[in-house]
Amino acid sequence: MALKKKIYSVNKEAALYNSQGMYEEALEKYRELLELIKKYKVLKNREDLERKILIKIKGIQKKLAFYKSERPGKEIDSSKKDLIKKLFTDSNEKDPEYNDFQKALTLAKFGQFEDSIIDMLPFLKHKAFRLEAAKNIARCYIKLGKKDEALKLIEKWALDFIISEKEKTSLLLAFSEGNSNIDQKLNLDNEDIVPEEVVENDNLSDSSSDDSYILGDISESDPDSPEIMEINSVGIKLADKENSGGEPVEFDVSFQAGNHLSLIISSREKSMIDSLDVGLKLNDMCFYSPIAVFKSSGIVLSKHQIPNGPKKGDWCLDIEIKNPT
Amino acid sequence: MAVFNIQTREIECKIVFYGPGRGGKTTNLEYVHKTFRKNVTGELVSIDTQGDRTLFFDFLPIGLGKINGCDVKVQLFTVPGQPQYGSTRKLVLKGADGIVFVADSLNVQRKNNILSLQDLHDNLKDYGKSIFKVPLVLQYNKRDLGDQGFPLLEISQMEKDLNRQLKVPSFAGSAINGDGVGDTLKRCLELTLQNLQKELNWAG
Repeated sequence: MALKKKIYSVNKEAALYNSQGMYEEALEKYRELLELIKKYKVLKNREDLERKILIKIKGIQKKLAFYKSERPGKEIDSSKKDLIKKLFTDSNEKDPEYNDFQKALTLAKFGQFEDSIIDMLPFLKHKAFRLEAAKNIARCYIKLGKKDEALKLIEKWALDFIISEKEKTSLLLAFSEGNSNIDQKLNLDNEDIVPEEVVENDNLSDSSSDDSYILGDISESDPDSPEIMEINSVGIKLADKENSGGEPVEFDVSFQAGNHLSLIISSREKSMIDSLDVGLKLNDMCFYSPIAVFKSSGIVLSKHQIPNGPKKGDWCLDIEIKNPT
Repeated sequence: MAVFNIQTREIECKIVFYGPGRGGKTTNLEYVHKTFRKNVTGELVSIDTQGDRTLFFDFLPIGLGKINGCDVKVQLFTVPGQPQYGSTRKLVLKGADGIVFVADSLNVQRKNNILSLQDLHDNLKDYGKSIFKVPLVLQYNKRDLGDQGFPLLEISQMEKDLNRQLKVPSFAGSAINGDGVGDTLKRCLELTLQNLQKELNWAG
């Protein structure tokens, strides 16, 4: 009976996730459903149900493949392009040419490479913009998968004295090394992501505020001595499935010092407490922090029963986090 | 970044709806568009969609009328939530004066909520802004699904995951029914305008 109820519930969840476009989650639930159906030996139409679920799974896998392969580079209509230019271009009222140039760049940022090329072409004749225009046009061709055309154009621009021989060489060098990091090679990366205001050592480090302490933890970690961020709770999956039913059991962190965590385990979880011996390596742990979730392993450092206070009788478990990934 | 035209006494600011994919950001804007007709000054534009996924952004202009002698206009944006659209998300976030973080209450979205908030933190940092200082409001969306028996995260759990350090205003919501949408936006606008009053010194 419990299994039947579980099947209904999992099916309902799978259908919801599918309808909400949460395909990864839907897929996982349909797979779980399939496993449950297989266990439900007395089910009359089991084979038929299995077949239907498999069809669902295939359909979702197709959708997933489609969404993962598609990139927002497809053409959009001209009124929307105008809106993008209007909303995302840093304009300078005094310099209409600069504004038009920026608008052409904006189109490229939103994957509208062909239109960006068209808008950028006139700037090849403009002394102040010609090199940046050449870089952007070449980049757009590369993004469109037309590397040969980009290389031919660079040669032509040099012959037409739009760019110098030196500039030609540096552009060709950037492209000949492959498509990866082309923006960086062309110094175009700053076009996309220009910090609006540079924070100089910085207003975030005000030691009197709580913010700065927290920010120090999450944003200023030294790569040579990685710090463990603040952990709210820990999911432990024991190899011994009897204790957790194969599912991770979650515990709140009561105290943290670096990569050492203290967890409180209720005295009611006797079998769990018994299985967590000192020195036990926990290979499948999940750590939840306010800013990230990460998996890692840990080792049980100590275990003791709380002698006093409101948690009297519960157990305190100290764990060291190993190799966070 | 807000634009303050001193001559026309007009302020234009930008609010961005951020959050994990499929969390209900577009649904929030659709509800605002449908319900707050008096304030809506233009059409809701979606650029572009694939099925009902936002690929670039949604945009809705609204007007708040005169505040302290200034005509206040607000541009509402949503970002694409899917992880693969990170660069578009960052572009749309640029210049945001206020942010509504729409978290998904479904249990299975817990990790995505946390990752999306981390993504917001990282992107703001790249723009030289602190997530602790930008006007920010959280919305715990899809609460209605709990009534239908779906496994939801407890509000207390979501507060712990997302708001323990931020300590910003948060609202339970159901954007599909409109619950909490107005309250969330109103609070975000209040915080944003308070912040702009300080930054632009326009109140006087």
